[in-house]
Amino acid sequence: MRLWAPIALVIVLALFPVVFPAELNYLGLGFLTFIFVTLAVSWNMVGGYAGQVSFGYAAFFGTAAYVTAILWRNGWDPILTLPFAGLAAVAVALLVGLPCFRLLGPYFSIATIGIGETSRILALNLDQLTGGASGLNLPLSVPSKPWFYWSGLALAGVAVGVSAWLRASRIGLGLFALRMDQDAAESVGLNSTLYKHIAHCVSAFLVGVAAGLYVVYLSYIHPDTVFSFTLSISMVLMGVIGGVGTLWGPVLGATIYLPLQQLLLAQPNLVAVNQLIFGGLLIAIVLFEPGGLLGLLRRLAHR
Amino acid sequence: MYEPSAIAGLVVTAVLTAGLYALMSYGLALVYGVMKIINLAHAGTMMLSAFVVLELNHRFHLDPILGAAVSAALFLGIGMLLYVLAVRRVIGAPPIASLLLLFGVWLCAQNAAYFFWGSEDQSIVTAYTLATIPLGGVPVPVVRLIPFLASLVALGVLSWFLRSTDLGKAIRAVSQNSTAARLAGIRAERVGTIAFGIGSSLSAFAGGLLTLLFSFNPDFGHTLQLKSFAIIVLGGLESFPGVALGAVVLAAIESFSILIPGWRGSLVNLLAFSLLVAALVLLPGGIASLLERRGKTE
Amino acid sequence: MSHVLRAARVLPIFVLVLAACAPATAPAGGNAPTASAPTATEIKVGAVLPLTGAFSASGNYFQQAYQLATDEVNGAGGLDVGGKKLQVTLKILDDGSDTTKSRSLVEQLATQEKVNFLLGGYDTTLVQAQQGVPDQYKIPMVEGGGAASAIFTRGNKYLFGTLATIDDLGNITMDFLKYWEDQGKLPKPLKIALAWENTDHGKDYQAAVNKAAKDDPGHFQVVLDQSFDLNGSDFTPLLTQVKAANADAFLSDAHLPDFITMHRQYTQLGLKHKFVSYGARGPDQKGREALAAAADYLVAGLWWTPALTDAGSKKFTDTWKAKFNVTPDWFQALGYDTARVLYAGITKAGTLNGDEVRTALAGLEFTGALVPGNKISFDATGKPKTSFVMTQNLPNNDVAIVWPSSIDGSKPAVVPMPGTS
Repeated sequence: MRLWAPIALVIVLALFPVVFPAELNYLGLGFLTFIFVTLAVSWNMVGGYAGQVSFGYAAFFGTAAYVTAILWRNGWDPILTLPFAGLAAVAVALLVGLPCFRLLGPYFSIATIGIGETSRILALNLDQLTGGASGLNLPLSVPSKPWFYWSGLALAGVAVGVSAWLRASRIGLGLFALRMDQDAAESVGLNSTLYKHIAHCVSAFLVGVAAGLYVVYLSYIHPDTVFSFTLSISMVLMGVIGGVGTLWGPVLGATIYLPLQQLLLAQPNLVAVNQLIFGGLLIAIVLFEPGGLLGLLRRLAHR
Repeated sequence: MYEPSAIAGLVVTAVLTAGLYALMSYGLALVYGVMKIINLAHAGTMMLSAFVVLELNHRFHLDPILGAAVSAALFLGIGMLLYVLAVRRVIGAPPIASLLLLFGVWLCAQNAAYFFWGSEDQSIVTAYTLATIPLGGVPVPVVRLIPFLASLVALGVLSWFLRSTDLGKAIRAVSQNSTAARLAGIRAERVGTIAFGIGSSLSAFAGGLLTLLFSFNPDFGHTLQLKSFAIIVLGGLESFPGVALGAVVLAAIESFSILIPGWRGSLVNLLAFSLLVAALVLLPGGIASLLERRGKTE
Repeated sequence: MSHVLRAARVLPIFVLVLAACAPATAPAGGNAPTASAPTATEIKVGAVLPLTGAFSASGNYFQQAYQLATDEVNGAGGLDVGGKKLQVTLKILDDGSDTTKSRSLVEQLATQEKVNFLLGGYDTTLVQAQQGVPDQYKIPMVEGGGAASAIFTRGNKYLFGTLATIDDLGNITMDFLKYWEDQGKLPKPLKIALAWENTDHGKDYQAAVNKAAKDDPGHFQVVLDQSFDLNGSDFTPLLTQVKAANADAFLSDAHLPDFITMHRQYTQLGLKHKFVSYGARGPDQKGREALAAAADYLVAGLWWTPALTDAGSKKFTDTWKAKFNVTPDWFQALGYDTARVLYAGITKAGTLNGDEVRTALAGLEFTGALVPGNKISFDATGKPKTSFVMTQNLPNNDVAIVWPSSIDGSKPAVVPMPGTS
């Protein structure tokens, strides 16, 4: 893809709050979409490029969210907490990756479900640290909508940029080789564990920063929200529905996921349909178009 | 602090719960054994089966045990249909495909249940819901005894089936080496269809019997499914006695954790999830393989 | 490859430029929609409720109740605002029981639909997710679906609750127990085995019980304090602990599924205590069906019950039954009260201005409420100054109001439970 297209896109998106400063609703929706784009793109680095499908990314999201929440409550400027949130997510990623990357395929996926749920229950019970089932009271005054919008856009832009870089780099090529055939790749000297860890940590850092921004925006945190299995699943869904393993697939998936749900929800008679759509899409994609919506679009474009 | 009768009570409850857990896990183990697929639709099957039993109970006053049997028969067909329509297409594909497919099926099942029955908690009550049988001073609830007995029967029947019937032997052959089995003339795809059907049927039977114990809604089954994963991993993924053993281990750990001083009851599910991860990482062959290895070196 | 490197160099510069353009922290106030009485022709009220998903059963009750209250106002010609009668337009959106959507949709109501006022969502987690919005946009919100005391500790000025908080449920239960101890019907001090679900609900209850024991050790002694996770599959270990604790009273705070599972096992194990309560559970029809005679004599603390006999409650119960063919429970009653409180606040202020309605609500004394005591008012944090009514299940699917004695039709409870003295 030519480079001017994404840059033009970023410019257009960035100008939106300048041209329409009163469209607060769209700014908010835009922010959330950028966060979800970041999540999907980051998940895809491991789930798509490396082929290790994790169902437990909420463990990173939740940990980072609590780091931001706790520091923010103690008077820190929310922006300053973000790198630490990211690093906390990286720490968890290392902790998870070390034992789990030894597992292959579905075993890795199942283990990550266990990890996600374990971290949720821990957060629900470590009352001294996380407030447990009461959540934590966060300050009600937060930065302005445009601030969130631009931060979200910047983060999403960085995530896509990092994903593009990773894809084209030696590490990315190594990951693709791993995904095709781990044994063959290792036999030519590829350090598969190191590469997986790198992708995992980079991915976790971005998820962590996204989590921090999310928590500040919502000014609400609770283990059942930030460690939720549904959140982990949404990352898988966005990646797969959009087109797992591609650069723009997850972006497409995320763009559809949140705004579509919100717009569909606005139509009362479509509400039940909304629920079935994602399950049905998942099945359809697995059976008929493993390349996801991006793959479908490409196929249609080539006709 | 605890009288001997209390400890005896804990032992009894651990055994009864083990039976329940094992019953829940046989279907998963069968499907995995034959086609190396982890059936994420297991929770959805249990949940839908519970609703089927509910309808049979409300409309035809059918006892849940009979209802569970009817549901099991129904899901035998549904499982085979699902296999033919969807699952068989992802057999050779990367494992993630089957995970996502079956997860999608679960999502659809959940939302269909919300649509038809809403989110309210449903429960079934029978004449014997509160009845107990005294067993040496420990009152054994009838509704807990039934799934336990059912799991013993299931274990026996499954073991006999796999050992003595042609279909069972074919299933074992495909489990061990599907290529070799094909070479030996076994129609692996037909075996797969039936195995998935039986697996779904077992899940449905478990889900139906669970209505004796718990109230349920469309979210039902998520945690139980994860516990089943822990159990089949602990048990070695491919053997039914292994599943039973895994169920005993988990149930025992959960029941006796209460004796740990300062233990928080709300941590109990942590045990299953941590056990799942630990078993996957440390004991890939499950406890059964540990014992096998022991047996060989002696 | 070089394209990508070029992008990597351009992006950070972009980021810096954007960050420099963005106003960093702006005080939240500037975004309030203008609302003025003279030119308004209608009152726009918005609410985000879980109409689908895990909380949909209750969410739909709240929707029906909000709509009923609104229809009544509109049917009477509209709501009186400074002498003029204005029709109320109620817009309800579905958050699918999801936190992110809930918050996002409330903001949509505030910024896109430009509602004048908000009614709250259902379930504490969703209300807490929503509660940042009223203060950000200076739009008053009245909620009746969140009962965690934590909701009112965040410094909201524009949020008002009608649902008595759970710590009060603990308090009223302890008051009740103290009374019966002083009557000589329960041992003094009362040894309490406490089991609570690990949610903000359960934690509030646990905190209240423990506080009462700490403040009044002559009356209360907590001999067991154990938590449990939602949707448990086997409470026998917990109940074994309860049995070993040799308590006089068993207090548990649970939702319906756990109430059913736990009390079934309690009965099967042959446990008995002089007093048993499962928090707000007991008279619910589903619970009674699932437990049969085992549910008899359980005491519960409720926000409202169709068993209340005061004129307002009776009328509401009859109206609801006639309209929806189902007996209402606290969800419907509180939803109805919540909307009416908002409308009363608007009328009192005489204007649609957010700040003035907020002030009116803060000082409001709403009489004619369905809640026990028939009065709703708020403390400085927006927390309701209302309380619970306690009921006791009686045989043959009957229920009696047993506390406080000031409530219409209140009868003395059967204490201790039969067969335990």
